[in-house]
Amino acid sequence: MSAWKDVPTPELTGKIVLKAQEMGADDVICSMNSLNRKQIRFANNSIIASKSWSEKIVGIFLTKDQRVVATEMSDLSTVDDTLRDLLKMAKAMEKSQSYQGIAGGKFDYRSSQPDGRIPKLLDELYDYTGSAIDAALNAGAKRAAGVLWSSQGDAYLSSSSGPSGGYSSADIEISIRAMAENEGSGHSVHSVTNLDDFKPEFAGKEAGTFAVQSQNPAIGPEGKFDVLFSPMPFANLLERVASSTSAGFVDAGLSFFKDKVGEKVASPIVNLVDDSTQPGALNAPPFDNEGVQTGKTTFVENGILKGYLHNTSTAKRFGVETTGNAGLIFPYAWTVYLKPGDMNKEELVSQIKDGLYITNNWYTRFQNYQTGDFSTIPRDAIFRIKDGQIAGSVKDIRISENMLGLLQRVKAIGNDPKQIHWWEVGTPVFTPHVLVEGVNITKSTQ
Amino acid sequence: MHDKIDMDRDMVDLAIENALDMGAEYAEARMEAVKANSLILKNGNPEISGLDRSSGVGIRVLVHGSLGFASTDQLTKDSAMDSVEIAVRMAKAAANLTRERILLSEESSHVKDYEVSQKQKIADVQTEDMLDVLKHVDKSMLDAAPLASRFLQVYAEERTKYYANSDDSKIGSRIPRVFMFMLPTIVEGGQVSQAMLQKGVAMGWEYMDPVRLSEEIGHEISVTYKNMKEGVKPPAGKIDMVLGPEVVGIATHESCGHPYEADRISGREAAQAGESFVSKEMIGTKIGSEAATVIDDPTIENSFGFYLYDDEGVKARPKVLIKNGIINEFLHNRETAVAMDMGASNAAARANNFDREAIVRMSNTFIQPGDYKKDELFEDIKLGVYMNSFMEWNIDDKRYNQRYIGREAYLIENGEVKGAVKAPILELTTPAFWSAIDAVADDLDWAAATCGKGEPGQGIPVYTGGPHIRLRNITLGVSQ
Repeated sequence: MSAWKDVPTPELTGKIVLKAQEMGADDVICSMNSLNRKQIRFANNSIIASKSWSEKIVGIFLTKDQRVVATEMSDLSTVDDTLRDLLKMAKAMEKSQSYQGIAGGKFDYRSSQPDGRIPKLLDELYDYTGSAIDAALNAGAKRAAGVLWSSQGDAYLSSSSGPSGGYSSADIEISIRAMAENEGSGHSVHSVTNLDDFKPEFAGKEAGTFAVQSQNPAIGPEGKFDVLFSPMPFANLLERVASSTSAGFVDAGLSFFKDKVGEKVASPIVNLVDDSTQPGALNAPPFDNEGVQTGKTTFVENGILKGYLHNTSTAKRFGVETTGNAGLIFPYAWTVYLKPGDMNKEELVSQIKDGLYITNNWYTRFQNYQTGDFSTIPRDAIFRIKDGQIAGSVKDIRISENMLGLLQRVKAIGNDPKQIHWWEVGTPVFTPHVLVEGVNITKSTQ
Repeated sequence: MHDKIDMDRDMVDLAIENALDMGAEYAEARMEAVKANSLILKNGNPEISGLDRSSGVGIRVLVHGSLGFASTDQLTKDSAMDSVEIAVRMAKAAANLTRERILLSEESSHVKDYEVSQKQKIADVQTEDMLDVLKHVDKSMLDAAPLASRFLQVYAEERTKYYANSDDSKIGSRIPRVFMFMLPTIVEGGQVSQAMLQKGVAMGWEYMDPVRLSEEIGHEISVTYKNMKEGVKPPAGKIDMVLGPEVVGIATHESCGHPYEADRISGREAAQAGESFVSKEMIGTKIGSEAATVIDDPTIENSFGFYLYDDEGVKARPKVLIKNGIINEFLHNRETAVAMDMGASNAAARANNFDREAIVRMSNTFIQPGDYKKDELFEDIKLGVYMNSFMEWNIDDKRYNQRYIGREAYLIENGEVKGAVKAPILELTTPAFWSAIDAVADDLDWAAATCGKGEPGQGIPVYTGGPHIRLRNITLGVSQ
């Protein structure tokens, strides 16, 4: 093939698979992702940069005699050379004992219906940005910073074992942090796939309101407290819970769920699902990186760990079926969903005698992935709760905890799930407010 | 002067010309091509070998004080010019909401090509070479401790770059980098310990000597295992501490390097990595003891954070961030240099690839070595802890409250290093940390790290480092 660039896009991945097979490859998967994104960044109520990306990335995964190699490339003129290099590399590689093949057969994929209006937005992006900033300022904040994204993608996949398909996606989202006087700050995010649902001013208002309410924070307490997590910080923790569910992470020592399938790993009210069918989910491909259809996989049911997330190879090694979560080396979650409870935020607050309400966090780091010992730092508005009432704001605290212990102490789950996806949460997570008992809070000793 | 490094320079130059024609008052373009190989060995099994042959060009323009950036991974003239057009178009569209006009400092122009020499070229590295190194290291880990799992990854890249701007700078570079990541999990008798280990330099494959690396990594596993088996609870009350270069390096990076990034100080990163407890007015004020001097120096040969010209075409130089306990200088790019009336940038603008804008970054950040011999630091400590490496760490988004948990740590009693101490927690404010330093040794060691910042994220290679230092009167944190 001399002119790969002339091959119509929907046929490209299939033809690359055939070419790789002709050249001697055994199993081959080829994907093509074309992505167009725009970003408006703002700080101090002013736009600081406008950006645009145009990408077309071809991924090739192939095996030869159970030797596994892969690449990503963007220059189609080098496909033949790249396949040659990959096969040469495979020859020099040693057999992978963990590779157990790729999924075969044909699947019935969900159709994708991206909002065609989103990729066409340009001047409107600035209007949205302006309305979010104005809403934060109208709520009483002095400064707002953040980012607005619009994304549109087309993806194709072909496998030598049969699966092939394509889908398109589009989404728009905003992340806004507002700063008030006297150390007040608040953060809010909002992500949608239907432009009619996009209300950036709601995010601006929430961030601005938190900023104003959290002014004049006192140095926070240390010890064990009941903590109400808003969706932003709890999503950050659940993203780590979901990655711990990847069979690849379990193998690599990166999971606190190793050897815990069938065991109680969380409070009985915790039900966690990897659910790429959630309406409005940002990361909801109809098939995984092997071409297996994606859907709903419950990994924690009534507090019991039901199983891990798998691709074909990890599933065979663990003696189960693939869950449609390939990742060709590491399976991973698409969209995490925590089943809501029935209390609203006010009812959750009213349950707390002596505690905290945390609205954002960052810098979650593990002392030991396998034991689940970690700490994370609350940021932005942190409220003290006494006798069921908000009683001022605090600062300078750290959550120093064990993830398994924390999951066991989930006392109540709110009825207000929200999709969280931002700088600190890369895998979209739908979570309501969550109340956890006895959370260990530390702070600087000097 | 090297020969010109081979790239399609005409496309870059044309992109700048077109941007100016479309109304930009300033334009720059950066073309990058990466040739990289990698390999993962998991629990002794060769999981996958990968290659990366990516390339593209990013264009940044300033139109009426508004900044536009666009990139494409399709290196055709049409795609590059489409990127120019959208960058200019978006910068113009932003004009109404650009309430603070962006200006870039005036800088000398440079026409230069440079590269890091390689004794064993990355381009010649074979899969067998990568497997050989990882297998040696894997064996050394297995020999050192009972392991439940181990994850090893090696990565080698050669990055070719051509940067040009409308101020007549034209800079080509070729920089090789090799990197290793290892995560062994030690399990014995119901106890579990992990070590997250990294190695990285800007040089050829000659760095990847399997024998030397096996010794170094094997040692790390041995001390971690010993700490897990024999470590006792850390002492309570006020104690003194000696910190090893790895801990000094991370604390310096987190609590001096980051808060001194001028874009954080000005609020540009507020919604992502955060702001800073440091303000523009704090230059010249005391933040720590006289023993503390901190330098960020990208020009250190073969360092992981090496560069000679930054990604805005400014010539690199060492920056003295803290001088004898006084806040001396921030890290700047051309935008913050104007915003903070510095006159000129100090060349801290870096991008991790063609598809990212250059933002203010560290390079190799370290405490300047002092006059003490390492052993002298311990001599008059009655009760203390020597923390030589760390596991968990974090710091708040103003860089004020920081925490490091020791991996290799020992008790110090009456001037002598005694048995292992398990997981001591250093959790304190930034001024408390810098003020507690009373002695700095004359040694210096480095750790490779990938620093995260920006949106979309830009992991960028840096060294963190320093000598051994002594802290006085520290109260350790308590665990859960």
